[in-house]
Amino acid sequence: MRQELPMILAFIVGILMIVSFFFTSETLGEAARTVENWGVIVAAFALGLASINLIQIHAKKITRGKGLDWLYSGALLFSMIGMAVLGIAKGPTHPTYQFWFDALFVPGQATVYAMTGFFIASAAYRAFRIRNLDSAILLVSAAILMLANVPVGEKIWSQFPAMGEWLMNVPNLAGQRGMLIGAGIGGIASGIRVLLGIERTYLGGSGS
Amino acid sequence: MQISTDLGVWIAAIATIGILSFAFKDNPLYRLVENVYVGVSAGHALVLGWINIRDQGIGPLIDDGDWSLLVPIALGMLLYTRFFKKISWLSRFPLAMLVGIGTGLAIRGTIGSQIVNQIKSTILPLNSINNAIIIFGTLGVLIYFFFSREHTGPLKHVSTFGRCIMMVSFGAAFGSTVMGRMALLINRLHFLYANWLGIIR
Amino acid sequence: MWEKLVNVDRRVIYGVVFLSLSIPLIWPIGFEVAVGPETKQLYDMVNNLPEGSAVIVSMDTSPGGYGELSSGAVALLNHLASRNIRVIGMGFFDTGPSLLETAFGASDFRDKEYGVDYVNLGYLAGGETAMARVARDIVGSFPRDYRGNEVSELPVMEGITSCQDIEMIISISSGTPGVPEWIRQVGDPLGIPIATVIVAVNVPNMTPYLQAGQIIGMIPSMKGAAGYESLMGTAGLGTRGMDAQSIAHLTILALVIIGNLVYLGTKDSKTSKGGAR
Repeated sequence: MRQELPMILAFIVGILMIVSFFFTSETLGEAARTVENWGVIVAAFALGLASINLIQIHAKKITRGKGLDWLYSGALLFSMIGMAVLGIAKGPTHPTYQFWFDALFVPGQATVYAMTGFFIASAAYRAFRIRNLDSAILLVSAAILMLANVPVGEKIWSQFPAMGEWLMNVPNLAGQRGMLIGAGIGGIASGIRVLLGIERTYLGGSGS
Repeated sequence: MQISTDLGVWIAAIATIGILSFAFKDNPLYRLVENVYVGVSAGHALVLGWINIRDQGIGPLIDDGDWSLLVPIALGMLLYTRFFKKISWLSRFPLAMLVGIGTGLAIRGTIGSQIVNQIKSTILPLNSINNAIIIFGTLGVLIYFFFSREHTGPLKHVSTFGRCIMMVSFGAAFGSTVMGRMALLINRLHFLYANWLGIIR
Repeated sequence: MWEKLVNVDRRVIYGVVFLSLSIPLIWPIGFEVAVGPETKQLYDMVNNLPEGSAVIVSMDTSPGGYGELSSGAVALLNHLASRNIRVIGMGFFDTGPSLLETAFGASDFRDKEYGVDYVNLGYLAGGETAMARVARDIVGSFPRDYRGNEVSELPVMEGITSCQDIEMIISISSGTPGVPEWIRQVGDPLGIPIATVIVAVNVPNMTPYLQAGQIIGMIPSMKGAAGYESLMGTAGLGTRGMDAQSIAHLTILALVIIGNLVYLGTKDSKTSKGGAR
């Protein structure tokens, strides 16, 4: 019952979403709208889950961690609680809140993402090898596109932008479309498996 | 050159350099900045979650007397039973609801947008090499993915063509990824040189 | 020699990349910027919008992606401001609305009147589910805006109830939920044009949607921003970044070529010593 009831719930709301789209019925439409609204509220509750996990992990690190762990974990919890209290009390557009958002969160995450620029350069040097026809096609198309995408490419050879555009809009389009349709069909198949309860890993159990 | 006197810019610059310093070596400043920004991020999620619960759930419940909203509020609270071993199974109900809605919406949208419209746009007149590449390339990729029996005869040629086409797509993906990552680095360096140090405009 | 090149310290590579970006940023070369057709399409589409009409600008990104999108977002907002188009802002990433505040502040909307010319409705949880909800009821989905005002009382929302009252949706996008979700829930079922300011890594995935007409225009990464700025006759970060982007691409290509030469060199030397074949 602990697995079956949630599965039945997923099935009912999933089918409701599909059926209400294809059949014009005021009752079905209203039911689907209500369930959508409920979904938004439940999803909002889910936003707090990560914080509880972080509190559990970092409270442990503060008491039992090694070296400077207490400082890092303390800073994490302090900044989390500080932002939460400030945001809930004053609102997220309060100047102080926006200040810390812009001064810490934005540069912090933007730089973490930017760092991958260094890593991709290192990977390009160490791992991007022409070993067979496949990797040769991959490398040549990547090289053409990289030159086509920047003004210097046109300075080197005036045809690079046109080549890049063709590459993007013809063979790449075909490849992406094949993958898109394939992923769509695969997604629908796995969605049906979820709704029918064949795939139930999301419940924390194994599939049948 | 005019170095910034703005406190926010200085904090952002220290955060940027702190994270960038990881490229050289793992160090305490990097760890500190990383933890602080993860904390700020989690705190922000809490604030936005609360605003949604307030505006979508509690507000209409109290102001308009919409008692049906007790259902999603109760379901949302059940998500937190996962932290209590004995009753953690109750968190499956809200999860099942989210998965059910998401799956239903995705299925209904995918059929039209990702399959029907994409197939319709592939049905092109066979009057140019480009159109032929689009049609047979798309077919080739699909055959490469979906035909699990051995690829022999004409099937082999189409699927090999599909494989080559996919390699072009992966090449395009790599080229685009390089472009994006460099743009991200440019953004951060521009911030340091222009907003913080003031050595460029 | 090959061994030395194989085992070159990663920090040397990082240093080369750092210099290839920093030098052109500090001493610009001034390469001429080209405009992509998909960027021109979006520019023309905005130019053809009736004055006073409304568009949705959805900030569907985190600060990580925003670094790449900010220049394009600001250029587009400036264009919308100059055309007196009403902007209905929202976000389906929890970071979206705060980044939208930053973008409004960096654009010409800072001189416009909040609540009359533009609004930031905030964040709605649930990803694609939330988009489906917004599609049919914008005011019901956002009873209060990000700044705490009653949305139904804001003049900017006059005549707007659902997405069908919107001329165009622009997703400033770096992931999920983003453009495919907008297409699935709003673009295709309601026939609302979708455009995007998008991170480079997702650009190849967008080509099938562009060719099928499910997206009507696109500003791809900093390159697209530079193009849009040139159409606007301005020079923002997009334009200034193109020199550095050019040299960085050449550097990466040089690294790939050297890497392959090293690979061939080590393979040959191993073969000649009777090693791996």
